Amino acid sequence: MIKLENVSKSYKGGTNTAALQNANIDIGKGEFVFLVGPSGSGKSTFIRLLNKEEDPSDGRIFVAGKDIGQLSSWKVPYLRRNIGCIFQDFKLLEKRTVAENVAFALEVIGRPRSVITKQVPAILELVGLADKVDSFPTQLSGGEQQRVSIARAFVNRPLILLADEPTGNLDPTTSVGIMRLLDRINRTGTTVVMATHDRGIVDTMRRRVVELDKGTIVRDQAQGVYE
Amino acid sequence: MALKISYMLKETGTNLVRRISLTIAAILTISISLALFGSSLLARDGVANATQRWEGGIEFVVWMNPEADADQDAAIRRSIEESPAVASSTYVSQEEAFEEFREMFADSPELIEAVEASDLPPSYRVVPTDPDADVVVELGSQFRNQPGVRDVVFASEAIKDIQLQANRISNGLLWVSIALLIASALLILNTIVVAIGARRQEIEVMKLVGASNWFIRLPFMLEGLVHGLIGAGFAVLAMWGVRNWVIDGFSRSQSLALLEGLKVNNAELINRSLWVLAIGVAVGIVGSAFAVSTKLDV
Repeated sequence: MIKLENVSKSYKGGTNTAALQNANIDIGKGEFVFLVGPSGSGKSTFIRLLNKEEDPSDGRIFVAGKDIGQLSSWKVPYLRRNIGCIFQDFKLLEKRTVAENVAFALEVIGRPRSVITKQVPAILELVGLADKVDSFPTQLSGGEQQRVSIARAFVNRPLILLADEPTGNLDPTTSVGIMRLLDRINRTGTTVVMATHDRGIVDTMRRRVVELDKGTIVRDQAQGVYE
Repeated sequence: MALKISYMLKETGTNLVRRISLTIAAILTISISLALFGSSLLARDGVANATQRWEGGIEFVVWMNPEADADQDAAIRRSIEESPAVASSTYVSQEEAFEEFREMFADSPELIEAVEASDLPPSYRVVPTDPDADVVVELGSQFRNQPGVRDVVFASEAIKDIQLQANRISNGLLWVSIALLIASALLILNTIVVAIGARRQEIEVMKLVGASNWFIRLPFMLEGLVHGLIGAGFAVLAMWGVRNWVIDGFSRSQSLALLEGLKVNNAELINRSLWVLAIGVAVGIVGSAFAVSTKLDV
């Protein structure tokens, strides 16, 4: 599903600015992969490269069999429709309700109204927010906001879900709830790649762990632990 | 598709209303600049109509009698064409004179009804080699008493002066309006940049979930287009006002006999209005396209 061939990414300016160095990895369909490592190790860069928010300085990246480096800019949105993204800061629109935030993701890719009115309640039911459809993000707890963000990322049934520190702002109990939800989504066949600092979650879930250090993949372990 | 169009219109409308003061500023600037631009075009048209028979250096007109016979006409033609003091001349037949008359009074069909081609005298419009007033008068006067000639009319200094001053004024207006048009485009550009800034979060989410580039860009482009179109609409209204009250007012004025011919007919006004609308739309699109291409990194 995801393949990196000798991928490097460096930023202009400074001296030691290689965010990713000669990364090679193959992630299969339906896998759940944790990206671990200290801050600045290249986890977020890894995620941004998969979503083509950034381009690699070197190497090739394949998503669903396609070399995304060859995609022309007008095709990038179509790539992103197959990739859901969630973040530590949720990135919800405060002036829109829960239902409107989720519907927004379908509206802007031109889904018909009939599909939107069917899929939005269904996905909000799945993430456990059926009773909060008309609430605004500021009226929700952190865990609930992250569930909205997951609903928005998953409502279009993407092949891949990228999560950048999704539990970074949440307490441990709430984090467990979010991980259960991501696990459930993973079981539907969606490939999940999650960057995290949360040792407890990684050690409990025992999924594939890829460890980055200063931009280099130093460990790739099936059913791994945090360190 | 229906949802996409309604979404675009809704977003454009929200953007316009959300920053109403900027919207008004942009529309006012573009309408003032286009009103000046359009008025300068109308002034040109009016003066061109008023001085039509004196364009291209024509210094005097030899009016023939409609009843003049072919021999008389040939004699005059020969003496004009063979005169070394004449640079060029144009013969305007009765039909051509009637055609000009119809153009000039296109808005007064009753006047056109009342006149026939045979009522209008044919004429020779003469451009002398030397435009000096004394030379021209001497040359023109030679034809006055020849058989078949009804009259010889000279372009007065006043007409030449009107042409010169009107051209200066309309050129001045044109340059001022071009400067203001550039200001309008920049104002629209800044309005769109502010709109993009205010919606940065939404744009970020749209990009993440895979909205197409045009889907993100189009509401902003439409906003610029609406600025241009509404501004041009007001400018067109102002132009109709200028024609109906200012230009027609001059032509009705008894004290300025020379300005009686100052007229802009409906066809000319519609033509200029369409130009102004097209330029308004173009300025709106150019301003917003520039904002979108430089500030909206999709």
